[in-house]
Amino acid sequence: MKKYKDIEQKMNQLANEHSVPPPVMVWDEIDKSFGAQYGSRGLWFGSLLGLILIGVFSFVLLTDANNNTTVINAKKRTESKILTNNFNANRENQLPNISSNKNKSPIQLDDTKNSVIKKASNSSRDENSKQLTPIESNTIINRDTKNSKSDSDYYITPNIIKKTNVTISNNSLARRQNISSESKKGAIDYAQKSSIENTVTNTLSEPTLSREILLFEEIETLKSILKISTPELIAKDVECPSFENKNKHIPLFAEINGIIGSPNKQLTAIESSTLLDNRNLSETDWYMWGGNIGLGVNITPNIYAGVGLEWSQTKDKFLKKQDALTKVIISFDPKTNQPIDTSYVTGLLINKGEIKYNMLDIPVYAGVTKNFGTWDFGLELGALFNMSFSAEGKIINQNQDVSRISQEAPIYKDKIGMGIRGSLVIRKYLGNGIALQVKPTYKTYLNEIQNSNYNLNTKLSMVRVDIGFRKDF
Amino acid sequence: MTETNLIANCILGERKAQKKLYEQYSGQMYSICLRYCKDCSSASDALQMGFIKIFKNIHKFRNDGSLGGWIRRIIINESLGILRIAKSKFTHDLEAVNDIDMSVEIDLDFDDFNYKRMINLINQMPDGYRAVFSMAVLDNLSHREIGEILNITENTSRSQLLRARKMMQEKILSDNYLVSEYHDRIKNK
Repeated sequence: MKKYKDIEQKMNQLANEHSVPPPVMVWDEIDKSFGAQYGSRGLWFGSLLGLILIGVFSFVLLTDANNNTTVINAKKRTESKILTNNFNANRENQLPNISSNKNKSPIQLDDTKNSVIKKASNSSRDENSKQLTPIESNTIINRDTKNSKSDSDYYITPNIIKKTNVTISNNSLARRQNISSESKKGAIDYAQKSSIENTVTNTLSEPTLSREILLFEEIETLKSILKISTPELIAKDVECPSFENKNKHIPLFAEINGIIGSPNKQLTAIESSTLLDNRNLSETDWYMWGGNIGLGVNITPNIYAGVGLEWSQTKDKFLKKQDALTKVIISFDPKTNQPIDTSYVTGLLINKGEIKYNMLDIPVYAGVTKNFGTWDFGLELGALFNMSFSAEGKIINQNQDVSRISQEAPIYKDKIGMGIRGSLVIRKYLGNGIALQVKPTYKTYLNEIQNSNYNLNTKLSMVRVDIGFRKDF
Repeated sequence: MTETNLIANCILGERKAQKKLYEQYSGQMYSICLRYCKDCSSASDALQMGFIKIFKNIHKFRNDGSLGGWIRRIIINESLGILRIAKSKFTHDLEAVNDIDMSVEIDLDFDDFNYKRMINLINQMPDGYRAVFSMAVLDNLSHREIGEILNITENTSRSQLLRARKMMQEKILSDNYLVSEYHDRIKNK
């Protein structure tokens, strides 16, 4: 007697211990899909493989020439998706020269070379030519359109075995003798069903999913594991999305950052001027702050690009100290009530304030990172397109008086053009694709920010730290 | 090569490391795919798409859990994506489900109870029960995780598991009876 919870534990143990080797084609497909991404490496391997294949192909051709047989060339095979008389009536235009003499030959299945289809020799062709018409009319050759590299490129259905003059090599026969008659029947049923399905898929629509062609043994194993009859292996109601569609998932990311940093405003004049001196003396860089949001795409796991919106404000302190009249003392005669003496007291007049520069930019940026466990380190470069610029606060005007920017003739531009920024990226992933990031950044505007009629040139740049969160989808 | 190195090399896109990772986990994961998908063609697709997703997102793997668990979850997700179990299969019945007795004793010989027999029992259950039972009992996923994967609430997951367990107890009992009958017949012969 066992407690039910012990039975569940046993089930868990059985499930964790169980392992089934997957079909070889699965890795081939994965490999192929990544081959496209790592193109240059794949190109080298592809070239090497191509050379090997050409060598092997040539060798086989030479060998077979001695045996008076030839291998159907690769192009023919690619074209020959379906050779079936069942569809001939409706689809004659899709069939590649079925009636031509080249195809009127018995088919030889050689399992030792993974189903290489061979034509018989010219001499045998002549002898068999009369029998061939009915043979071909019942011949279905299924081709796995996605797995031309796999071992089972071609699968010849039992129709061929039953109804055509197929020559099967000794190895193939020996292999099949091990299969029970029952499993053969199951496999035949499955294969017939599969062949019809493949035929319909290949002819009526674009083939979207690689369809595994099972060996008889595999079907038998699965049948015994699942305890279901073989035809049930094809689940009609299971929708199989195409592999390509799955690949179209765009790995997006979004980020939001707060900004704090130190501005660096540079005032220059062609010649030294009083205005430049006064402004340099009265204005000192203070701090900058702001925020940005971004949305982008991970082009590869290590490279990304994005676009966003950034608002920032830099603040300068304004401090003007100057000698000025601070007190006027007037003495009056108490009898006549007339002023008899006037005296002045001078002192240091301190004028304090701040100057704010507000910027709204659209940053377009790209970055490259390297991953170390949960950490990403990298570099990010971007261009900024200024949407608006404004300035407010106290300033020394061209008359060397303290004034407000808003009261002066427009000193600064409304838009200051393009800027660039470069950042170091330090990112720590917290889980669920969310990362905390810190980006020490240098940003500068390429153009001067003042209007051309102003006597000074002004450039704005800043060193800052962007701190925020990023979410990978 | 340690697992950390293997992951690091996979992140760099090294094919050898990817293949090693695949070889290390593909057998067990294919077994999981077969369990959820029922047919081998869908299972192969799930495995293929799952591993592509794994390699593309391995940089997102954090060391706060096991790599096997992370891979398993992606594979289960892909398998269920292919199976596309409709949410309607998880709707509550009006009658409440009572807790089941986990300590109820069943006459079962563990020597006769193998993977094949277990899968046969699980496959007799409806899709919804089968998915929740497999995830909770065989793959040790929490109700929160099951809820996230199947897009159902935790309570629905709990109630489905209770029903599935109840059904499993009945299936084991009836299956056990058949097995005993079979043994008796052999003995009598």
